[in-house]
Amino acid sequence: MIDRNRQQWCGLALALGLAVSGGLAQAQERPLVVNSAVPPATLDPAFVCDIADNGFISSLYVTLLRYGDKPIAGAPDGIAATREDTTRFMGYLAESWDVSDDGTTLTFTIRDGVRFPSGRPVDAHAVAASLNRALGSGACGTYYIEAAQFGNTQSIEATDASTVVITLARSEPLVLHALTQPNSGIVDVALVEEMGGNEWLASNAAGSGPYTLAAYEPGVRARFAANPDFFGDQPAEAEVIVNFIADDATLLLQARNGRADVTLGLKKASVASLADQAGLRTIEVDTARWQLIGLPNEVAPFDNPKFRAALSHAVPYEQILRSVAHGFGTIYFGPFPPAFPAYKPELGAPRAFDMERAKALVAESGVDLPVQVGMIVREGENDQEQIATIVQSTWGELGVNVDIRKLPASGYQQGIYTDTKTTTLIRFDGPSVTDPAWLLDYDLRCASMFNTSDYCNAEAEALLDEAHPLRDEGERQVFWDRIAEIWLADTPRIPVYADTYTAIVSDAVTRWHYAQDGPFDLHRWGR
Amino acid sequence: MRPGGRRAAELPAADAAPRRGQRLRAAWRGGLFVGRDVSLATSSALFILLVLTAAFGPAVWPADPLLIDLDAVLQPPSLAHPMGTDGNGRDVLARFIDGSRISLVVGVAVVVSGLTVGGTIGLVAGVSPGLADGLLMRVIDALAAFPPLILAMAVTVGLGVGLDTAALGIMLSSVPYHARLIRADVIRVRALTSVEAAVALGAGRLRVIARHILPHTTSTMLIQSAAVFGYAVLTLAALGFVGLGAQIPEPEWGAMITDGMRYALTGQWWITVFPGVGLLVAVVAANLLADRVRDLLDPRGRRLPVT
Repeated sequence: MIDRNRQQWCGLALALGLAVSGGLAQAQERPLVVNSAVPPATLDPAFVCDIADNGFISSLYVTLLRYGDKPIAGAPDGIAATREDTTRFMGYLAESWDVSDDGTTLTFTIRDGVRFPSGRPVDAHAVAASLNRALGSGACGTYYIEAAQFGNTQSIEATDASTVVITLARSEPLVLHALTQPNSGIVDVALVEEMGGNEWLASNAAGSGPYTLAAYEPGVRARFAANPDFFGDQPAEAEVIVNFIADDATLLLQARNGRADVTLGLKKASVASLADQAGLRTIEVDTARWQLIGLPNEVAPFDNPKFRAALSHAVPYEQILRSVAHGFGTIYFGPFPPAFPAYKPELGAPRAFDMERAKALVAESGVDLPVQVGMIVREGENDQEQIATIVQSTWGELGVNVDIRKLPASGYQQGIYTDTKTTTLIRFDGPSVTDPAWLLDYDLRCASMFNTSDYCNAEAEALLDEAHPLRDEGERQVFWDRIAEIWLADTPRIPVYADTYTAIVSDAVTRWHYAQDGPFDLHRWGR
Repeated sequence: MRPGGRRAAELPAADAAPRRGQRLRAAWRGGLFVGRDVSLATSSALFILLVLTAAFGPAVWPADPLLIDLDAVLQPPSLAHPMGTDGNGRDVLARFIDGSRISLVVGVAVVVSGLTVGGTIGLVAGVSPGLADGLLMRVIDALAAFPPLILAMAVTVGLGVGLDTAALGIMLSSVPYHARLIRADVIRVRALTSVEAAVALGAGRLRVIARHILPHTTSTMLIQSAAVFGYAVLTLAALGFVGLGAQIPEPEWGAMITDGMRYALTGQWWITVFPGVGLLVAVVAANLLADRVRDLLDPRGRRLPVT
């Protein structure tokens, strides 16, 4: 009798064991599902410009260099979460590299035996062809390869099958950063030409990265399949499906119902609502991205630094962080957010919300009140709309009447990049490369079209020019500090808060990596 | 015969006291009539409620609809905030009341202006067969070729987003409905024997229009106005919902619903639900009223309440 019971129990245990292991195997067999709010506009590395698009292609292509990793502080238990260490370069397609003493010659030795899925070798000639294609694109590819120093690249040549030499007119340390970016990913140029050119590459892939693009419906879905010929470690997931879901409510419901392993791009209010959701965890990453209020520095009365300073004291930073960002952010004031290596607390301390001080500064500025000004926000960006509404109220108390205009994406871009800005604006901004020179090149230079506040200070720009060729971080920091001081005195724009990036992952996910450009490093995510 | 109508007019002018009594009795009978008609009573009550909310709401609940209180964001309904607060800590009830005023004012403005423009076109076309009729109706056909919401959106986008342009767009999209209905009614009335008799007796064109045609189209105008009011309120909300109507920080119901949508699944239902209910009530009241008034004024299909 006892034996019979034991047999029954053993049988039951075996059946349960098989069922559990079968279930687990089934879970592993199904693709990793990623739901994301933002679809990429193009997949061509030479033409992607938006920070979300850049990251999306990062698993399809390899770059010459990549950044090292560091753990994400405060990541949930049970998940190995890492992020880029932008102070440490590592070889990727390049086995090794060398920078000449004067910084103008960069020599890369390419890995041997790497091939594109088409069968063509990924040798020095293919690398040079790809980098020259990006350089000549006239789009963001040019911006990246030249690290915004237009005309500085004299040549990109393959001196033999395994050596690529980049020759610069003057030293530019940012080029190494640029070569880690998806925009400089190595493309099978011969395949692109065979398939009809750039138009084909906008919705296809021609790389040698850890994944190949198995299927792609623009704006709807993408399916990534592990590339068996990839030279590095195989990705943890054989297949990944990325669904693009623009509607936040749908994205939230899918996450709640366990329909996604990773959910990206949820609004912060939705992220906050998932805090106690069983089976889901939130990964938080401090980023070099921020919400800012742009001021039209060349238009009266915004050309008055005291008036701008007054406005900066009439923003309730802490309350905005709490009610708009639901605490997912950090407040600071200055050109560099806290996640920047150049950030110094004494030069980036938050500015006080002090209406009395603001009123006194307005009086000192001599500006006649009331002032009428427009403020543009991007349609659908609820956070921007909410910040604008709050600022409209507090600035109204100063006598600055804000007329909020919600513009569609195209109108918003037009408003931001117009030659002379006449309105204030709310913008989510941040550089692809977390380096002060990269940021200031577009954000500080008088001639830059990406200088969204028309800020122009000759002294600060001269300091940036001096800092550019320097490679010693200590030497560079002296310049960044001086620029920060000038910036603080000028108050050209108002950083509202630095964003904390959030990703929702299911309990099944055990590995996740954040890249500043993305964070679609799919090959480094897994269960 | 409508209660109290011609019978009151037949009384001698000097007999003031009995006339007052008869008026009161007529009003009482009218009240009873409305009270016995569930559909009419409900729609009238809801409509009156909307008007009372808009007229006396700010006096009863004097909170500032634009006042931001970031220390009281997303508060659920309570005694301090009966409809809760939104993402900026603004009192939803105060915004709801202000939203009802916007809806009512825009609804009435659209009805009056649409009726004036569309009615005039319909009247002129109806009494002037031939070139004028053909020309005016082709213009109306061209306007009617656009889906009403698309036309309203096009006008709003073209002239700059805002409440005034939204109202103008809605009014323009309502003109064809008024014009076509009034024209058809005028053509019908023009053929009545009484009108032909008036013409035969030498009545001038303006007199015929004013004394014999217009009074006969009143019921059509009334029914159409109630229907257009509901359409105007709903379209205004639709424009506000897509960001083409009221602009920040104006508390229009459609814009409030959009604002609350992002909180719908995170538990803060009150931001969307209350303006949604307000919109529902206003539109249902207007449409029910239009339906019932049509039933009552249509001599062929008159359905009186069962007593």
